[in-house]
Amino acid sequence: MSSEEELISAYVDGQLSAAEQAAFEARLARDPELRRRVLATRLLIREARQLPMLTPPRNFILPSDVARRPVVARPRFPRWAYQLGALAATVLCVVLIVWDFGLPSARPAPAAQPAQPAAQPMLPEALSQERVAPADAEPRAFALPESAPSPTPATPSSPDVNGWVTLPRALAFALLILAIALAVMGWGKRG
Amino acid sequence: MNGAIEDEAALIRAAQRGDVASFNQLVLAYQGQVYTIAYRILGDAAAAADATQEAFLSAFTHLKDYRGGSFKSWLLRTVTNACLDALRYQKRRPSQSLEAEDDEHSLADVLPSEEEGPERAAERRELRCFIERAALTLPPDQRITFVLSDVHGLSYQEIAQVMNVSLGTVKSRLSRARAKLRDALLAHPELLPDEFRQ
Repeated sequence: MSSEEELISAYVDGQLSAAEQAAFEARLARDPELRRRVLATRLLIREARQLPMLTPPRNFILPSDVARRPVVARPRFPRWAYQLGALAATVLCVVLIVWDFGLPSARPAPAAQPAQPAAQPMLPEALSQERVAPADAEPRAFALPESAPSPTPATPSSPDVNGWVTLPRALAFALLILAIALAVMGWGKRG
Repeated sequence: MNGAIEDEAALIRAAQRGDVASFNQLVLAYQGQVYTIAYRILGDAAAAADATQEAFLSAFTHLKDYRGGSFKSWLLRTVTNACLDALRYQKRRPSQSLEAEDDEHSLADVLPSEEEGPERAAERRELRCFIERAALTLPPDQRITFVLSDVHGLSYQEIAQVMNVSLGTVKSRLSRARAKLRDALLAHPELLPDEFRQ
């Protein structure tokens, strides 16, 4: 917007200082095009002010029980916010699914699992030092000696058979539901 | 208008306590102005009625937030917000053009004033119809500013309060709106008085 348009607008509204007004009127005197624009702006305002007050098609009075109606607080987020939220939830959902299913390095490989018991003796050791009396230090099921390999692979493989619902999968499912809900809300939202 | 209201502040206080009858007196006093502004912004009678109802319902619901000052400005803020919501909704539909059909509030029904002849009155009606429709092609912020300022005569300060913007923003939006409408007028010399037809 040129400052000249703001000058014209301010001039027709009488908002210029005396010095600004004098300078502007000097320009008006020698610039017929500027004079024409000022005249047209004044005409516009004069006619706009003559637009009539309208009669409402009905009364807008509120029903007497409006105060007792529960007020439902509607979130006033714009439509794009819902769409962005749905997109973010979808991306997170995909990332979790890829991480859980797709990347072999993200999950313990079966070959690596026999090594797991080797790391575990640290736990009973620590426990025995802190809480377990030496007389009770009888080896438990999880406290196999380092040299003893796991007799069966049943324990490591059980999550794949019975524990299909893992935390990442549950999160991915929740995010999927959230993405669908946000998309539906955004679709029905104005603007 | 609100000339019929004897004690607006008392009605507002009662309405803030949940007295719907008091609030409805305010509705009756302001509904003409609120509806007219909504119509000038939206250009559609049904949409304007919806926005007006939404504005009064919202005003009643949020009346506890009113902390004094100009109730009219506060109320007009609710209606302009309702209109902005409606305009966002309208963006999904085909926009109106200057050749849009007359709505039920056509200026063609406005009677000429006594001091002008029928021919001149017809020319002015045509000119006002053009302005009314051209205003609907302005961007929403400029349109609202123009309607509040040049149609309803609010001051810069009042418009700044209603739209929650600075005075500078009001002046800038108004000058842009006026420039666009004026240039649209100048492009149609047949609508203009004789002094423009040279």
